[in-house]
Formats: sequence, structure tokens, C-alpha cells
Amino acid sequence: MDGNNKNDDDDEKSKLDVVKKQFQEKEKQRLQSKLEKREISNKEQIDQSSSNIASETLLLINNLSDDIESRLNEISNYHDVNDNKIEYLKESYNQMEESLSEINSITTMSSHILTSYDVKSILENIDSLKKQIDKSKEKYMPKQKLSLTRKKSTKTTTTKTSSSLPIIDQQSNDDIDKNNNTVDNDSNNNNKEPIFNLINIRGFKNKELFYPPSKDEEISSNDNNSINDLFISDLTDCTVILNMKVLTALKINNLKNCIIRAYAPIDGSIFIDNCTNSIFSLVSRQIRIHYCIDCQFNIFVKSNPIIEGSKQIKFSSYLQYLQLEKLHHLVDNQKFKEFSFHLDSENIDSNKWKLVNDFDWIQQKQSPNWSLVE
Amino acid sequence: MGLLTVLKKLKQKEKELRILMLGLDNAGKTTILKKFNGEDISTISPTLGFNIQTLMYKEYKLNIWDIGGQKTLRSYWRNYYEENDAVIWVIDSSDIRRIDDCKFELKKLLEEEKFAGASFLVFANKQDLDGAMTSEEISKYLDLEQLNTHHWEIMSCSAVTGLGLEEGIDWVVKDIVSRCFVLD
Repeated sequence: MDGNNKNDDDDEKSKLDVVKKQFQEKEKQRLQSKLEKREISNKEQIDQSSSNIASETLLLINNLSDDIESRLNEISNYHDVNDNKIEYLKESYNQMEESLSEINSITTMSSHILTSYDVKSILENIDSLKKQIDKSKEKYMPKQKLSLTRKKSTKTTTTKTSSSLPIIDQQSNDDIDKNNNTVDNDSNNNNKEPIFNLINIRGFKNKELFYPPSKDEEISSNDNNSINDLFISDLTDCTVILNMKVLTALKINNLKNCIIRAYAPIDGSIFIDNCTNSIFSLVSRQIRIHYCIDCQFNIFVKSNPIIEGSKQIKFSSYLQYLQLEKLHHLVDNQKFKEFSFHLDSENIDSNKWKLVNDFDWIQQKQSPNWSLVE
Repeated sequence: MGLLTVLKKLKQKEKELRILMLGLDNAGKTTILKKFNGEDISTISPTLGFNIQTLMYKEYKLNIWDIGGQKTLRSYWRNYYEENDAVIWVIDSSDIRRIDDCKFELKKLLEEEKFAGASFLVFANKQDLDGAMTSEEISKYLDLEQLNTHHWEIMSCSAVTGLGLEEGIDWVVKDIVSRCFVLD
């Protein structure tokens, strides 16, 4: 019995190895030809008239789309192999999507040299390829479990509890904890709010700030969790520690020499603008960094971070940085897991923090505006 | 299948509507599209360039062009202004700091003559956030009431919860149809 099983196993393994090798071989070839093509077109573009550049660009796009099509064909031929191939399928689909987004960006960047007819055709082609990929995915990929959608807390408690804070007139040298106290009064009355309410931490110098404010914790710990949206702005030489349950959105503007550290996930987007010489340690779905200079971002993020108009930006991993600073014992992994941020295990999100897109840098080589922390 | 074959196939179409979706970055344009289409919204990267999504709504095929809203991309917006049946302007209702930027860009857009005759929907997105302005507040602030060059509508929505998305799209389609198609 055992012997048979072993033989079967070996058989399986060798089959698997063969398939693996085939795939690896193909990936290699693909990569090589892709590189070659790119090199050729790079070289040629240097001294060509713009019409030639246009046709080269079209060629490049055509190559990419051919590549996608051949992959699609391949997959439809492969479908009788068993579940061993999921890895390869994934890889293949990733490659396809990468190619597609490459076409996408090439088209945008060169839209000024292409005729509008060309652009239109390419766009329609992209559309159709995308549909084919989706279709093929649906057919051959096992159904993925959708990642968690967050349950909303009941609306009556989440209605605007911050009516006392019209941002426009606020000089805001008061404490931040007053946001949380008005919940009982007018929870049904949110239509009558003055225009422009926002929870915010704003206008401090040389202070250590906690959100939610620690001295208030016993009174309003329920309310703290209901506020899902935070705005931090105009701080100098401050440290801000965020330790709420979760936020859906975080906006940050105009900080100098600050440290912002969150021990809870932002299950949504972070938007950072006009900061200098500051250190951010954050976990979120999305992060956008605009017009920042000399800042470090220690992040865990589920999509590619982007920078725009920024310089001297450094990126590091959230957990690694906190370990370095000996602060990791303050990170409660369970708290993050609840919103499906898996910080401590290797997964598809683990390396997203490295994959930074710079809107001011369209070339293939590394942007001079950002770097990874060694 | 080459580029041309694909093109030819796509040409045979009817009841196809072209809709342009614009707005500042971080407004939630891509998230709205993905949510409406039933896709996962937890891993969306900021749009580098644009996305195109084709949706079937009732018997209409909607080609929705979702253009990135980053400052660097805004100068490219006008490459997409031709032949739109409708424009959807998406606003992050909680982004009070940049509401003036938003107003400025919207004003520029509304003056564009290529949009003459296009329906105009404003999505006041992110209504699930506590700091969100209401659609009335936004409408007032953006002077939408004064707008008489377009059919327009403002719709509160939340791409995260899905609230208001279908109503918005429904208004767009109905408005285009009432202008462009003779009932058969």
C-alpha cells in the first residue's frame, strides 16, 4: 500500500515538475523577448521622427496585446491539467494584467503622438482584451472568496457627532477630545448641521497627541469607534499616535517634523499632502502621497502606493520598522486581521509597499524621487 | 484575433452610451465603477492613466471611461472630451480642504463646449464617512443651482456601501435616452 502511494506521489511530483519546467521555460522566453523588444524600441526611439515613434509605439502595444492573446490561447489549451496549475494560471493572469496596464500607460503617455483614431482603437482593444481575460479567469480560475466587506455600525450612532467643530472658523488650539462628547444630543438631527464639519487634529506645535484621547477613554470608548474619518493638519514638531479601532479614511495636510503612527488599520484611503521631514507608520488599503519632501513611510498597504510632486521619499515595511524601533509589541495583529490586514504572514499584500508609482516619472528605471530603506 | 478584427466586432453596436467619469484624485471614481460592477474594492490602486469599464444596464451598453484625477493627469483630461453622452463628476464629500479645487476644475469642465448636450451627474461620494458634506451643501457650494447649460443632477452615494450608485446610473441612462432615442 505504502509503496503504491509513494509511487503515485512520485508520479504526481514528476508530472508537476515537468509542467513547472515548461512554464518556467516559457516565462523566461517571454521575458527575454519582451526585454529585447523594449530595448530595440528604446534604442530606435532616440533618433527617430515622431511619426516613427508613433509606429514603434503601436508595434510595442501590438506585441503586448499579442502576448496576452497567446497566453489566453495557451490557457484554454491547458485546461485539462489539474489543480497543480493554479499557481501558473495566477502567474499568467498577473502577467497579462501587467501587460494590459502597460499598454494602458504607454497609450496615455504617448497620446500626444498617436492619432486619435489609433488611441481609440487601442482603447477598444484594451477593453476587449480585458473582457477576454475576465472571461477566461472566470472559466479556469477557481472562484476566489471575496475579501471581507465591513459591517457598518448602526447609522444612528455614526451620524455626525462633531457638530461643534466647524473647521473654517476654528482656530483649534483646544484639545482634540471634544469631538466625542456630543453624541447623545442630536443623533437624529444631522440635516441641520452647519456646513463643513470635520473631525480633526489641527494646529499644534511640539506636542504628543493621542487619538482617541486617552483621558477620555472610559467615558466615550463606544463613541470613538463610531468615528470613521479623521483629518490631521498644520502640525509642527508633533507626535500623533492613532489607536482607535479602525478608520475608513485619513487625510493629512501640512506637517513639519512630525511622527504619525497608527496601531490600527485604515480600512480605506489615506491622502497625504504638503508634508516635510516627517515619519509615518500606517496600515491601509490605499495611500497617496502628494507634494511631500524628505519623509519616510513605513507602511503596509493593499494597493500600490503613489507619489506625486514629491522628493526624497523613503519607504519601509510597517512591521519591520516598528521592530527596529522596538515598538512592535504595541501592534495587535488580531486587530488588523479583523479587517483582513495580515501583517505577520507572507501574502499577496506583503510587498505592495515596495511597488511605488511615481506620477512624475514614466521611465522604466527607478525614479529619483523615492527609495527603499535598506 | 488581431486589432482590426476586434475593432470590427465592436463596431456593430447599438444603444451604446459613452460616459466620461472625472473628478479629483481620491474621489472614488474607480471604486464606484468596481462596486457597481460587483468587483472587489479593497485592493484598488490610484489610477495611473485610465480604466474603461463596459456595463450592461437594462438594454443599454455603457462604456464608462474612468480617468485618473491626479494633478499630473488633469491636463490629459481633454483628450477624452469627444462624443460623450454624459459626464459623471465624482466628489469626495469629506474632502472639505480641496472643495475649492474641485469647484475650479468643475467650472472649467462645464465651460467646455464639447460637452454641450451631455447629461451631467454629480456623485457626492463617501457619504459613509462621518465628515461628509450632504449633497445639498455641496450643491450650494458648487453653485449647481445656477447651472442651466446642461441637464444635471446631484446624487448622494457611497461606493463602499453601494448606496445611491444605481439611482445615479439610472438617472444618467434615462436622461440620455430621453434626449437621444426616439422610442420604438
